[in-house]
Amino acid sequence: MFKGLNKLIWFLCRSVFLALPLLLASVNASAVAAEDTDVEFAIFSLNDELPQLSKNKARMLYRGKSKRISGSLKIVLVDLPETSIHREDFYKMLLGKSVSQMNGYWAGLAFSGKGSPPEELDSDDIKQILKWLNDNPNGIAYAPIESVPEEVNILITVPQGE
Amino acid sequence: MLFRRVVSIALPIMLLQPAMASIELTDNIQLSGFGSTAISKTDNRTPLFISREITDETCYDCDTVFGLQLDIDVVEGLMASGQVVKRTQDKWSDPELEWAYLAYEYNDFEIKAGRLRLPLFLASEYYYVGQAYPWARPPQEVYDSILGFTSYDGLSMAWHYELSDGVQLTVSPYYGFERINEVELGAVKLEFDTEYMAGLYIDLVGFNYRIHSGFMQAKYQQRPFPNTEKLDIYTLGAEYSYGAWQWMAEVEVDRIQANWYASMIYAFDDFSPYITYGESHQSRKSKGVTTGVRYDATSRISLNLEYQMIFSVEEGNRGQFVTSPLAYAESSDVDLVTFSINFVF
Repeated sequence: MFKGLNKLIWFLCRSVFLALPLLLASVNASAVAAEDTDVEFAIFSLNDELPQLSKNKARMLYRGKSKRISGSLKIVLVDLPETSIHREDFYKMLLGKSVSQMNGYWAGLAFSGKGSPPEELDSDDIKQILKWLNDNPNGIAYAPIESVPEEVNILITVPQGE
Repeated sequence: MLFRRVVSIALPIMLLQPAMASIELTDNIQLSGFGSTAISKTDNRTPLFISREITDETCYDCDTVFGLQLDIDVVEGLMASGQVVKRTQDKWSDPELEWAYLAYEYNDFEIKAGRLRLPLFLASEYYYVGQAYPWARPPQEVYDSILGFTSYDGLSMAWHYELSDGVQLTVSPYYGFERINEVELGAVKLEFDTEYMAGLYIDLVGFNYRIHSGFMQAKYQQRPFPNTEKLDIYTLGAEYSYGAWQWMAEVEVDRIQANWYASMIYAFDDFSPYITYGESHQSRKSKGVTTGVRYDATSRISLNLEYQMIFSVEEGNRGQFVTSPLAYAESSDVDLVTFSINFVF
């Protein structure tokens, strides 16, 4: 039934593999472009004891691959609602991932007992974020830097931080 | 029966919930679930893939999986987890207890006891969760190499070292006690009396990559034969993502076989096309290409449309079929189309 298609698909597969280097080069270019937006995010906490984060550490935390800071402080993350444009931008900037990619990724972690996805707020209003942080002393959150009050502990800014 | 009733009540409630919310029964108890089902068809009468057995008659339940997972935080650091799965080969009335364990975590050290998942491959821990991997099915060349066995009853320990801010090393030895493993290959039922399964895995993890290496030794007796055999299994896998790209590759080697695959996936927002190439050598002999696309319909529901071609390398060899295609007077090559849906809650 499918035999006629074989050659065609075989050829297509081959050409994809051959074209890979070219595609890669174009991705490089677009990744650079993606960081070129003017939104800047702060990853912050109300807990003054939390130390500054390196970019690597922040990426490990937001991919659920690390749960602790300084070896023993267990960190809790919070997410903005899926409809929030800030959420989309934040993950694109910090990890280069879309919300869909992150969802599939968290499903893998959650069902291997390695961690559950961050709790999701009802809105991306800064008051809600601050209230959640107030209830979670080891919690960290992200928001556009201009909406973040001065007295919070900013752990790193994205994309500038390093 | 009870399982089916729970499913019919729980499922509609969960799929209607907003976002990726599992159900918090109390602050410390969480119920979550996952499932996949597919329409699939080959151009060959020989049943294809262990425990799925897809043929040239359109199949609506060859790939159906449904699982429920209960996670309980007992006290700080101590948790319990149970997972019941209707696997592809199970009837709805007879699902399998895939895992049930207690885990204790102290800083970077973790110990688990009970029924646990064999940590041989990259996707072993979420083998039944279609939502968690890009394909309709994990590549059979590697994932079917140990006949689909996924669990052991025993103990595991794990140490997580932070080598630097961005690199984590995990070392985890495990030991499984005696148990009987059964698998059906078409009309043939194989029974293994496993005396022990002991192994180790080492993972190197960065924010956008993971390298997984595993070793396992199993001592077993295949019933009704009297002789005891030992099998050493070695696995190595790596995944790497860069922007919208994701690459995965794995190798499995033991005394009777060598298998590998490599796959690449590109995410265009909600559409992720992918291509996988795999080979099996020695006991199974085949080469195969899979091309497909995954569509993330919502954060908890995804669809896959996939076309797979498997070519025989030796006439009469079982390849990825459950038996030799000669038994059905069929060609050794096979093409497969699959349309599947996956969800989690």
